[in-house]
Amino acid sequence: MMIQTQRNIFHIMASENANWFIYYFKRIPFLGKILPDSIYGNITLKKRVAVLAAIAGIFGKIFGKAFFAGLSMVAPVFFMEKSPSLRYAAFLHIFLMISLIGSLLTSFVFEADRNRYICIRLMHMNPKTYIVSTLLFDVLTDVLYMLPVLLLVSVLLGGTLRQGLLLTALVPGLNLFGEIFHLYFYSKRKVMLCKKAAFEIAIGVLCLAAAYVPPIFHRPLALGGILFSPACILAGFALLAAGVIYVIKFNEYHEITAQTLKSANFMIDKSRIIGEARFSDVAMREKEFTREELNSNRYAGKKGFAYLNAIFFERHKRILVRPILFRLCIVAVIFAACVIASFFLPDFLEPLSSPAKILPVFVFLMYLASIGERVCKAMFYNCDISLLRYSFYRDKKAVLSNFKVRLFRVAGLNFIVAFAISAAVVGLALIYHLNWSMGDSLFFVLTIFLLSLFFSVHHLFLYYVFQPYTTELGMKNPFYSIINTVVYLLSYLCLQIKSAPSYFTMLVLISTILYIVTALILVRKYAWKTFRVK
Amino acid sequence: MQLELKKIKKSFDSKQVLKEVTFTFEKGKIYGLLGRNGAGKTTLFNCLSGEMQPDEGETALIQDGRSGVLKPDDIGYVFATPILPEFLTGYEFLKFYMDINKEHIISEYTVDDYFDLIQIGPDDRHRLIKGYSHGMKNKMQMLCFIISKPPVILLDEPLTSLDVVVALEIKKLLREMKQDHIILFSTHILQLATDLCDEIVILNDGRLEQVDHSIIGNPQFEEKIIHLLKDENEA
Repeated sequence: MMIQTQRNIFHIMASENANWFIYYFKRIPFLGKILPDSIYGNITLKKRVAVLAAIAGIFGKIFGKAFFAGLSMVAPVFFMEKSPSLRYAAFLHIFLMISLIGSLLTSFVFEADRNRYICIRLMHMNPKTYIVSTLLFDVLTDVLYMLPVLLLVSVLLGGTLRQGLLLTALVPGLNLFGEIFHLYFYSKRKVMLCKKAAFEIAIGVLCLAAAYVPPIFHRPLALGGILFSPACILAGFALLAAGVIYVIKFNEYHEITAQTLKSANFMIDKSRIIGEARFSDVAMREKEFTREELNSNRYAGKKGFAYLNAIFFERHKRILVRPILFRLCIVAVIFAACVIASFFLPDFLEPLSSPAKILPVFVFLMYLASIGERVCKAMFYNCDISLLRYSFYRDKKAVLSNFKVRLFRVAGLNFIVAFAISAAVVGLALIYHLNWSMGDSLFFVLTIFLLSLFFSVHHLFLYYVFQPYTTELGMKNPFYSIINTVVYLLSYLCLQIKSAPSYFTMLVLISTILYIVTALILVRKYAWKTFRVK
Repeated sequence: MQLELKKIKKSFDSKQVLKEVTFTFEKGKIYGLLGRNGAGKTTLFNCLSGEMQPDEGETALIQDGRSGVLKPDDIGYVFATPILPEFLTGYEFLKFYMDINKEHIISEYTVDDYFDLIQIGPDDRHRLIKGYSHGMKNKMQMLCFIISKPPVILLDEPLTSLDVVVALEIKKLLREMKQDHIILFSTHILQLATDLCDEIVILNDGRLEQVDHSIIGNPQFEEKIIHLLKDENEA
């Protein structure tokens, strides 16, 4: 029955995935025209597309696992453990802690996604059959995804293929460990622990500490001998078997789905979804404003788009200004931490001594420090989605003038953070006599502001030219995601460059300026056509 | 003043929604646009308002004997569900709207005068539109074209979900305004069309067709319309 259920689910999802794939393929300029609309009804072709999508999905998953392992295990091990003989031990330590404690962080059973909603609520599948079969399917396929990753990692870090294979054998048992814990707790207390922030934070901190603190001090648990002993492998299988039996015997899935799959969250009703999206993180609450605020003449002097945006930014203070304050606090804390650290470790600020060399790091920091994506989302759901229906708002001049006002506003907010960061760094350089010349400081500050401008333009440019938001939930413009990811990866790569040659900084600066200019030209040329509700 | 549609065609991939729409609308009349669900009423409106480009055909606005291309500015569009920026108060939205459209505004009215006109009280003017009722939002939308007086007004199912009082108020407003405008009123409620509109136009099988004036009010009118709609659909 479970296998049949899985097949049914696969068919439903395959059809959804194929539709999604076709929908966006049709939107690729020129190429998309190849596919006629009737393709949605072409079952054979859709089956092939679904298979393609599934294969792409498998590679995506393996890549995802590899990326996660690289980021959370391989990179830290390389970074922290210089002695090759200890590397594999450090990796095993981190792997075990993250798998064991980290598995407590999420629980598949208590998750609620659209697929589950469709299958259980709309198609009336039995909740138990659905959840148990998908859970076991996920746990078992996870082994296949993890196998190549763990084999590769083992070899990379000084282990053997055999060790990688044995580690993979432990994966499903470890995966089920968290699940059993959550189900057991629920059956005793009726509490969904994974929805409690306090629990999540505590486990998160514990997991990070347990995983990384011992290896930092070169004291990873000596797990090699134990983990690969036959007893441990047997215990892993025993854990898996016990987990499977527990999950199958557990009988409260009806109750759990009743609590987690609330129709309101999955309604395919436009206004509802817009409402949900708004409420998630860009909501504006009526109660926040007093009568006086709503009836003030504060903006009487402004006109047109300046007036509109003045009110928009004022009403959305909570979601715009708070992140800025939050960033300022972080800058202050890091500044203080640097001062304290360099009190104990005189060489702590040594890397700061050459401004040009550390600038690549700041590319990524500025990426993190800039606001933009959320602002655009708020602009869309709270303002543009309605006003774009009016012809005067879609007018070329109007779009550009609105863009300009918004760019100034967003850049203004980001400049506050840029100012704080420049002040903090230049301040440190001055306090600790790092031999920054006047020119160095000026160069540094200018670059920080330029990067800040860059990310402000970046987000608004993507919003105006690729308008990713739709009135339907879950449909994102892939071009938007691609460009966004590329910029993210490039920024992240900058972080990896340890000692940048001097021309590198110039390269970054020039490409930043080029990007800004290109983006502005594209906005000027295309925004009035592309800035639409889709 | 006349609005002339010439051979407008619009397809979505292989599905031809508007096959060949040719029609002339005249000033001073309210046209009821009748069609079954999915007949293409909203598509036609979107093509006229510039939200969508028709595949073929022309639209012209003839004013004082001169024919010009219909521009998005010439159109006031009231949507089935009123769409307004909810973070503004009614007052702020109107002020913004008047700022942006000041070139088209001839009247000396202030924001408050306009609110008086559509009977939204002083207290409500300074509340966020988010908290407005459906009827109030609808009145706000009507107000937009009362202010900018576009020659052509498109109303997409505007009265369907309003309460009786507001519906009556809006009907009254429309009747008062019709002298200076071409008003197209789409609906699938037959009674509303016969009650408010001077002419009835049927959108069926991708074409527009005017119903003979003499049969409006005729006891067999309803049946005839239904016959027309069904017949052409099956053809």
